[in-house]
Amino acid sequence: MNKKRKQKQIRDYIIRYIVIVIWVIIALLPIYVAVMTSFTPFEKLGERMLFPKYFRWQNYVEVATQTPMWEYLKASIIYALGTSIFTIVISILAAYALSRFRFRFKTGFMMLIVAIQVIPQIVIVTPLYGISNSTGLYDTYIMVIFAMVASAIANPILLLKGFFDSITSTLEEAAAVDGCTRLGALVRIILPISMPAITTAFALSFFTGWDAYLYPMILTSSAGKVSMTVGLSRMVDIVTPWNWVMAGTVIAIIPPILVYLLAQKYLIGGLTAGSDK
Amino acid sequence: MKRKMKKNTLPYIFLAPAIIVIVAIFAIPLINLLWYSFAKVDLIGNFRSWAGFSNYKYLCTEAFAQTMMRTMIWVVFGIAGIFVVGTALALALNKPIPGRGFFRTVVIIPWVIPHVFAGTMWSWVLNSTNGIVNTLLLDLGLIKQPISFLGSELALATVIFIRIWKGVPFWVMSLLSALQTIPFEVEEAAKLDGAVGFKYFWHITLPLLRPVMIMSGTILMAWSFTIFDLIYVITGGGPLNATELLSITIYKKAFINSDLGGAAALALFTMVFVSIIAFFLMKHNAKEEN
Repeated sequence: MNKKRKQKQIRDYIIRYIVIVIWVIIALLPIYVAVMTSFTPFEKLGERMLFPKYFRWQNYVEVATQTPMWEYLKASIIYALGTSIFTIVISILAAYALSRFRFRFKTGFMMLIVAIQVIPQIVIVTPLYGISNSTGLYDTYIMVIFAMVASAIANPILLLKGFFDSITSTLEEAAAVDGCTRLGALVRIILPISMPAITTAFALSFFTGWDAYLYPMILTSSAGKVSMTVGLSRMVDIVTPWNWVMAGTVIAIIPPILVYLLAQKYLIGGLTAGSDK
Repeated sequence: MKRKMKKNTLPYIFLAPAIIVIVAIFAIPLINLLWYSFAKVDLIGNFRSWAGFSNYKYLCTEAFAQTMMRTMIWVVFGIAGIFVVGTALALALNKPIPGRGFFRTVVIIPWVIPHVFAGTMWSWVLNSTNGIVNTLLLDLGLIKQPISFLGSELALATVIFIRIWKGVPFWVMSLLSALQTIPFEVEEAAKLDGAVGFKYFWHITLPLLRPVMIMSGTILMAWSFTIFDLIYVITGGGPLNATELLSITIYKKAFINSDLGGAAALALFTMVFVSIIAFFLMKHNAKEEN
């Protein structure tokens, strides 16, 4: 009986491992190839190789010196950090209001937040282009960041509201007795214990900001505002020195992977906190 | 009295920044989109003249029908792939297994890779002359000619595959957190009744996961309909329009043909179309929960 059970468990493990390992290979294949290619000399690119054979780190030096890579990287960092900082501040305030106050239009506002998740960038980019021109915000960092914040904001609000809901309000009431304002209570009492949710919100909005492509492409024109996404995709357009493009790609995917690894502990539960009440 | 006043306005003050962003980036552009679609406008959105329904004429053309068809194929097959692969993975990762923590971390990685870089990496992996997939298959003697993954015949299938690659982790994360809410007793009771393996999945797990699946599926559907960057980077809509989806057409109309009115009409159509599908999916969900 016990033996049979053990056999069943082993079979169970094997099936699950097969599923997982196949996916892990597919998931990591392009990244592995990108890293390998980024160290390969241009004239060896067509070589059939499965394992790393070359270590030409000059690809990275060349891509950094002969293309505006640093400019791209700088713009991407501004977009991503700008998006995440604004998103966090705005969503903390909104989530706190939704969690702690009763007011008219509360349900309506919640529905609005859920609904804006499905508004696509490609739909609103055309009028946004006109608006950015008429307001003089065309070709500014703040325009792109502002637009990205709108795309990033829904999930963090739902997530933080869910988290705030789980904190009892007794602490804030005690603080109110001591003469602390609502904002003071939020900053001094709620935020310190909400770091897991805030970390998740930061990671999510960082990914959105780093992913920005259409907005920087359409809403800016000067060289300094070209992001990694736009810059690298243009490099593919021309003759494509794939070892350079892959070196650039490797540089470009390191920041989001790092943020992911650092915030990973909180992310899996956090992402869907909003959707299943 | 004063205190009451304060209490009533405070939530709105806290909400104000969020409302400003939503109004400025979503509400005003959507209103502009509406009147653009009935007008002739120049490239920076200045009104020229009214155009009636002429901007909507494109919606009756053969070219549009084809684009719509391709978009539907892209959405349906993309989501079906994400559903099958993602559900299998979530189930494989749900219960303890040696190395689970590590695998959970790695499985999610495609999700954090921006669409553009997913595009550049896969374009190179699947490159028809020097890509690793073709060189390996040639080496192993499995094919005689390199496969043109981004040629007009296979391009749509290829971008759907890359879409699945990028979308699976989101599905896995949604399901993993939902699976954890299934009480242990449910599983025990089901096992006593003889519900194991696929039977257990079909009669117990799937119904319990349904609300989350519909919620995440709706979001995936809405995103899929309008993904732009992934396709634009990999194929630009080509070759020969093989991967020209709605989003690519909107972009081309607005920023290549300078037909802002036409782009607005198509964008508005897309928005309404997606909203209607999303509404019915969600409504169904809400009803079930009650």
